[in-house]
Amino acid sequence: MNALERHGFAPVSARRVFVLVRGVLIITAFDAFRLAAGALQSRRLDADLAIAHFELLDRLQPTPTAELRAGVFLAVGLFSALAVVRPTRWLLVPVALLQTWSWSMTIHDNFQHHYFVSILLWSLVSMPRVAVGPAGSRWPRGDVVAPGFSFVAASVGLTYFFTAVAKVSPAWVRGDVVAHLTMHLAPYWSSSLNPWVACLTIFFELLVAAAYVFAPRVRWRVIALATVSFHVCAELVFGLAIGAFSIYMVALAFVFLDPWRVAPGSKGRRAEPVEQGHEESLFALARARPRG
Amino acid sequence: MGTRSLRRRVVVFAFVLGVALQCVPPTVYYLGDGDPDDERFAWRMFSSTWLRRKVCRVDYDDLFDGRPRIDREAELRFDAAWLPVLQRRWDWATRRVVQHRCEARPRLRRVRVHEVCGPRRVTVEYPCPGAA
Repeated sequence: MNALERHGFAPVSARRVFVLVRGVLIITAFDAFRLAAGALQSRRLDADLAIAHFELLDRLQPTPTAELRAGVFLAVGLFSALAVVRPTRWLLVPVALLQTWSWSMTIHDNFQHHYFVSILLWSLVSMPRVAVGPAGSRWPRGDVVAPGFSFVAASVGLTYFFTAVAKVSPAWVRGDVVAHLTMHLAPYWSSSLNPWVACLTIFFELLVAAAYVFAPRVRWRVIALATVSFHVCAELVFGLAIGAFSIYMVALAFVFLDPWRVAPGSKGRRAEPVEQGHEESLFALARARPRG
Repeated sequence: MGTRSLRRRVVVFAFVLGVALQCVPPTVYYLGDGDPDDERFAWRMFSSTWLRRKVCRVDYDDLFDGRPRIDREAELRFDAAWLPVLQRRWDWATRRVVQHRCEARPRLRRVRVHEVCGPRRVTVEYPCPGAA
């Protein structure tokens, strides 16, 4: 078994998979309902011209009106809410499909985090179904083999990595962008900090990217808490108003980097090593679980 | 090769393919010769392009052949919908917006798109298809 298989098939706490699936769906549901209300009030769609993110969509889909977009968002919200209760593939596939259509139908929607949410939702489709434990227990118990869990971690790691790469540009390293972001903090902020904050951000994002890649097996409490603080600061101190993306990232940091080590097998730095035979049986267990 | 082993390989292959596919758009952005302003799938949040959008203003004007007939309501609707797109300066999208504008407005010959960043003003002229 090669390193990639060991990484992808490493058993993870069922509790973490449970929280990941439910957490992403709850945030998606709330965000979709919020976007549905916003879509109805938006004046940004013009019935005379429609441009989708992908040219093929322009030929296949009806002209995206405000009502159509609001309807799609509502459907995403409803399917997500239902999937929170019972995350079967019959619900997860429509959620992922509709959410992907919701942003790709028009170039007016150019929030990169909507594309990111699509990656998350399509990854959830491959997750093993984890049910709540036996009567009297509030959380699922034991470990499951969930390659999708490692895939989400790798995807989030890639996002941080490329976000860091994007910042390796003269305008960012000089601190121009940070200067713009901190304009409202002028009395309390020294402009000499800008290049330092800019470079530190690049370094930090690379560190978080690495932490996510190894996340299913290794957890670093300091990086976890720093990641949460980073996104909270971006929203509250720098006033970036990224909205749902920050909420997703904070939630993902809790699940993958597990700052308080609430998931079983996380007392040490590493999750419990698993013997070959045990892993095989876990794989069989994951396959044997009933799916919707 | 057993069924379980084959299944594992398929999962690992899907894993690698999924990760590789996610790397394609940012890699093409950096290594390809596409539009540097089109950052949609390259994870370039708060980049220099974003900063330029924040400090610059995009506007346009039309050059008609003769006296145009203006539908004020339609123009306001158009600006509300498409000025934010022009502001992004994606060349492919600007061309489609201009093409639609040319088709919907008789005697329109060309559209000039201006970007004003402080004292600097850059103008790009888009001729209507078929216009002399």
